[in-house]
Amino acid sequence: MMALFGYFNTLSTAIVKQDSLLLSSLFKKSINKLHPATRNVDQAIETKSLSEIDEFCDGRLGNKQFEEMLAFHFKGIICLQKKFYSEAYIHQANLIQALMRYLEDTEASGWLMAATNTTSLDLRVVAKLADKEQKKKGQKEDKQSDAARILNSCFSICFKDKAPLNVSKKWGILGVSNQLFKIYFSLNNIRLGRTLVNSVRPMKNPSLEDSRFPISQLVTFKFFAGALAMFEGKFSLAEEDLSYAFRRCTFKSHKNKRLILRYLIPVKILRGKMPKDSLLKKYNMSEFADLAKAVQLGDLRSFDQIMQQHQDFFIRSGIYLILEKTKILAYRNLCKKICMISQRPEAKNKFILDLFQRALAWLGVTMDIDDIECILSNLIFAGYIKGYISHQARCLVLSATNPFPPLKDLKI
Amino acid sequence: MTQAQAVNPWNQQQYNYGYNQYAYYSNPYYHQNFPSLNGTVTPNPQTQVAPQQTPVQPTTPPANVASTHSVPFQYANTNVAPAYTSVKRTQQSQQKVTTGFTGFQMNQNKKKKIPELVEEPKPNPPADDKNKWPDALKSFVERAFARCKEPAEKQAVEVQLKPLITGAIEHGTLWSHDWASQPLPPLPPKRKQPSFDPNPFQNESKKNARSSRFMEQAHAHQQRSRPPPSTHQPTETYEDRELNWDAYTIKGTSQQLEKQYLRLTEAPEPWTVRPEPVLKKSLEHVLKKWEAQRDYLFVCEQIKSIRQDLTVQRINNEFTVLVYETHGRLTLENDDLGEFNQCQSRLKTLYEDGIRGCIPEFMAYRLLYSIYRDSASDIIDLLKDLTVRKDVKVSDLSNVKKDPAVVHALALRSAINLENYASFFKLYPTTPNKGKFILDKIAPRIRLEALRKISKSYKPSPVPMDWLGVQLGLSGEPCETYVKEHGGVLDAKKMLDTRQSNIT
Repeated sequence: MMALFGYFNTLSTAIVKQDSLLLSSLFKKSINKLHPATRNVDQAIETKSLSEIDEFCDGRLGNKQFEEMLAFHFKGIICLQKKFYSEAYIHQANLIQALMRYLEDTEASGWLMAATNTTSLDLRVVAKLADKEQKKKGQKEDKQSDAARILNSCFSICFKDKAPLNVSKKWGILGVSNQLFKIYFSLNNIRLGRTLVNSVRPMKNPSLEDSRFPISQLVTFKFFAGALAMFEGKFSLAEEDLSYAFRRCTFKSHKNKRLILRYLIPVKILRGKMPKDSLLKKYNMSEFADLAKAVQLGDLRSFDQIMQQHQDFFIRSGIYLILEKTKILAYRNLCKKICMISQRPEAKNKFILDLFQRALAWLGVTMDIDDIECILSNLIFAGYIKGYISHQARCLVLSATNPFPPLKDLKI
Repeated sequence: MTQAQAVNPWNQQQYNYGYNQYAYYSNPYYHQNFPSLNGTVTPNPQTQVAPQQTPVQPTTPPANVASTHSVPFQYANTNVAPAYTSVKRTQQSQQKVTTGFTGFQMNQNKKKKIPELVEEPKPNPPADDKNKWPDALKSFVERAFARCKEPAEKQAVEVQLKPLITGAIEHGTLWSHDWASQPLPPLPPKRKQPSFDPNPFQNESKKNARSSRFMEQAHAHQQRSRPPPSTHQPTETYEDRELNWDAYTIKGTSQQLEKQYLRLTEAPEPWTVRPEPVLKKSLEHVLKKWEAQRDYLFVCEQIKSIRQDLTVQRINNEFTVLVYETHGRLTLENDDLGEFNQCQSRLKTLYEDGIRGCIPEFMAYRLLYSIYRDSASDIIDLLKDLTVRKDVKVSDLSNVKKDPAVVHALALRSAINLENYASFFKLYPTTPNKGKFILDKIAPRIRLEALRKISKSYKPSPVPMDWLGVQLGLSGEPCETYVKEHGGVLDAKKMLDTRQSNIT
């Protein structure tokens, strides 16, 4: 067949010239085939049966290891066409393991990093499809965790490479770790990514921000690292990573920017930096607009209302718990307002707690004095308010200077 | 042509490939050279050498490859082994065949007789006398393959024959060797493919072996309360890989009420496994013993063996739920949270299958347990289960949300998230069911935080102990000792002197 001849020819050329990009587009399983040589390969292959493929590929490329990979690739294509995802997964796993064996054996195989990237992407996608199939049949879903295991060993092969940088396998690290992150997210087990981030972040040579890493991979990595930090409660680190990702993410990927914002905005609100209306409008995130306004005004009633209204969206994105924490900021802003309004000249910094109770009641929130004392003591302890509570006098005494320090000065 | 546009695998647009190859190579990341940011294409010294890889063929169509690289068998001018080639080929030849390419040396590869392959430019040497085989050899090979019934066997035989024949060719003994008396290569034992999972095609033999083993067991032991399991052979075709597990499920026969728990390493014998009616009686018996003797270790072990018997017999019904719920409550009372986690995760899957049980109670426990483990992802999952997910078949989900246990647990979660110790200790005494045992584990952390905060924010007058006790969820004596233990200083009137206290 003409298509196959052209395909084999291009593939051998790619191997000889060590053209990674070409190789990766020839081993690609996704729908958008970039290379003209891969057109019609699918139709050519689908007429064969699995057991013929080994013999069929023998001798095509002149390189045993690549022929082995090619055989697995073709088998995978056949299984995908017939929609046998579990089997396709097995072949894809074999493909990537054959590739890994080649990487391990050959010294200067850094040129294969694009191919590694493509095959790991396909592995993850096929694993997900296979898991769905297994779920339908009621079997245990283990393909994705299996894929994670394989990718982890691929990661360590790339990471431990000692070759000089121009042929090093280290350039493939970010690609593989991004695929791993996506699997962990899909498995709802993000904290497994902690070890990944811990090994990649302090990388010296090349460093993480090296301009030779493709910016898309770096942005994705920072996004995942930031999301991980956010779920672990390390908000300053999260803000740093997510801002970097947002800044460097190209304006063309509107959807990706939106995803980054979904995590960045709660973190920023928690640190007291409210998003601009123009930003929220541009990315169509009106839920945050109302919420940010409520926090800023200290409007507890509408805060509760908005949380209730957009509960589904917040819970599905996993940001509900963090947004709940911004209520503390709302309390702080409310207290500030109460204090500013009810300042009396004879007792400038003293405010009876009854005031707060009345204000909250007006907002529709019923709390007894103990609860209010608790909230205030939390605010004082965290540093949002400078002052103290006098239990006997049942009042809050603010410090004379700067009782409500600006939020950007605080360390959260 | 910008770099971003050249190849961006995450950009799903079809790249319009007018195939500008220079643009293709301009991305410095993918360039094999040491990446230069100006993106020029400079030759890599390594491609010219290319020594360390396996011998790579030149880029011209591989027409001059040596015979060792070509397909295993030169069936040129022979009709050897029609038994297996023709069976496959008839299927293939029904597919559409493209025409053209008659100019290539397609006659070289007659082995497969695939119409489409015939047009391929196979890397074969031109036809000459070398490829003719003696008739004795042809019949030898025919006999060797005639014994094979499966493709895997044929492959293995081929692997053995190939060195034999090529060796004979190289040594020039092809025609002189006596092929008629050459012993046939032995058939391989049924082997697994060297990949992750066994080849689906070969699973059948293993399953047949297993089912026959079960049949033997069933026959060997006469005391049987049920008819033997059906001899249903699991049919596994390429298209339909549904397995019928019923043929392999054990049906127990034991009548024991008490049974020691032993970890299973293989399928158990039916006479050691208790059927469901016996298990029900066993559970009653065990619970009576618990009431009488309060020996948790014994009871836990007994219930684990009941659970094991239920699992091997694949009984998943309301009784199973009852067993797990009972065990769950017992573990909570006895401070065995590891075992509790096992119970509650199993219960979660059982509830999701639609089986009824005390869903709100255990939903509340699950939430409290996730709070105890401080795992935000579990909490989010649970919130998702309660509010967002529509695919899960949990019965009466809307009633679950309104159940007081769940409402209480949600309020607690909210209080803890906002670090509101006052609400926490207010909700603590009113915890329904056995949730208090989990809260007992969370409370110390919150209590210490509360003491710390109060100590820092309440000045100048001392804090009365009884009020403090309410805040900390302690009262009277225990409160004093607790405060003193953690560095609190009490003044003459037994009030907390916050100025001098240093809570650690």
